[in-house]
Amino acid sequence: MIAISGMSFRYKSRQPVLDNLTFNMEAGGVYGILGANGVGKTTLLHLIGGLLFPKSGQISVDGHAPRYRSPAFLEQVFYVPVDFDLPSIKVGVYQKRYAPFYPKFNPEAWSNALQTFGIQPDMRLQALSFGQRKKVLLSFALASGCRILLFDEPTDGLDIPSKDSFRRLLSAQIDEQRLAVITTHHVHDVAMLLDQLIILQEHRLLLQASIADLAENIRTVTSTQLPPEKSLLYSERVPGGYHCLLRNTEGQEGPLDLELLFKALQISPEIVQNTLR
Amino acid sequence: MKNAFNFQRFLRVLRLSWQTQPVLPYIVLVAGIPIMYLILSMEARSPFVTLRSDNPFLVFNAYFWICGWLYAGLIYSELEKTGTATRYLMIPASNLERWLAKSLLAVLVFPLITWLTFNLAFKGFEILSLRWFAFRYPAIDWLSGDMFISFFIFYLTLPAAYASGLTWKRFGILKGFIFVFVLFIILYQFIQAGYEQFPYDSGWGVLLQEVNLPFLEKNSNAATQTNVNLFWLLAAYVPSLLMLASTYFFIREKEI
Repeated sequence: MIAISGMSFRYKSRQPVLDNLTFNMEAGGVYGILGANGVGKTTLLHLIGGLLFPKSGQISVDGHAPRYRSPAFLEQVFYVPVDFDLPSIKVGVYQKRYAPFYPKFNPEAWSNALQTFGIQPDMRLQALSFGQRKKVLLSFALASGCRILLFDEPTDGLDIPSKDSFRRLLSAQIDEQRLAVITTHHVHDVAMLLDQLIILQEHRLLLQASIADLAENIRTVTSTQLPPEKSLLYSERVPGGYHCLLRNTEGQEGPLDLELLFKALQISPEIVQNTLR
Repeated sequence: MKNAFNFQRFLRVLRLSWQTQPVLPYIVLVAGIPIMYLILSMEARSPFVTLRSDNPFLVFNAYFWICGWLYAGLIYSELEKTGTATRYLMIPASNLERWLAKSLLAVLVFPLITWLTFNLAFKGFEILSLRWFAFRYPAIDWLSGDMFISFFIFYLTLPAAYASGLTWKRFGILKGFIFVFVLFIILYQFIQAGYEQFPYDSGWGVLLQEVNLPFLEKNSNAATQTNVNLFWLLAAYVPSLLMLASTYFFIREKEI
């Protein structure tokens, strides 16, 4: 659905933000993109959405080249940016104004999402808090009927119950035809949603793996003592013991802490990658 | 590109562009009404001054030009900020439809609104003023030669304001005005220098005498004058239209 091949991008007279990226994303899944600040996560979403153009390499989204921003492409892609802007109109007016551009817009899904988030259609967007406005935009994205949903820090500004609501609403929307891409620093907020993980480091692809594959090979444990070095990939001290990332030699699928995995990859990427191989 | 223009979608984009158009030009449009009234009534009140019949024409021009330029310069203001630019560029419409919708508003719709507002305001001035003093200005002849020249120059300069607002993120119209002003001074100096440098009877001298800036004195016959007008049509209007057309490519290549 999204095919990226040898793609590089840099802003004017700067170092490359993304360097020679190659990977695919398939429909029917939720992809999480992790990376340190400035590694190019938002830039990658902008490139997928056609808001930036690659300096070299190819990018194809559902058969379209995003840089042309064709109507057929834009009808299938909805982007929820971290730095968003909504006009100063009522929530219901926003829907009436923008929904006609999306042929598969689902008014029921819109009403349902608004209700779930506790937003009334007669509320003025200008009078809402950042988090409430974000809920409006997320509701619209989920109801848009677009096959590709791009979320940049979707849980930023949401309260704890709303994060849970977002997870439930997104899970209900993703089917075999649709794809969601989420970039986040708050990995715990969306960890339950993710099917695939993409980790960027130093502007390159460090890891792409399914959560199922990761859980098959790696597991997380918290213990009072350090486990044997043979199975230990990474550990950090926590109150009362150690939080450890271990090789899953026993084939037991256990909880996988993606934040711990991310930290492990930052420090010793080879060890983790070899384990996955 | 396939599916670059769809009339239904264009109407949707036009409606959206209308709904999200800048507010400031409308504030100026309304704020200009009492200012126009003050300017026109000041002369109308005085018993010692003979009313100048071209006053409404001059006031109309100032009103029409200022509002028109402002609107054209601000119509792409949503591209100034990342948030609004993202919203605008992600709307499912072609670049051609976006450009056409904005251009239609800036070139036709808003100037028409300004013209109507002026006429309504002028009627209002007449009704208001009859009670205290006679608002004895003659009606503006909208089909006069002067009015034609006014509209001609307005539409000659409008693309500069339109393109400036798109080219420069902040104070686009101001920067565009300075740019055009500097360009004009250079052109003027160039022609003046040419007058001094080339003898009148040389080829260049004759050319510079005949093909001068429109406001410079002309002593040509009608046929030469027609050629000069044609020259200006090509030398000024074609680049102006090209500038308008180039804004389409600017939108097409716009990144956030």
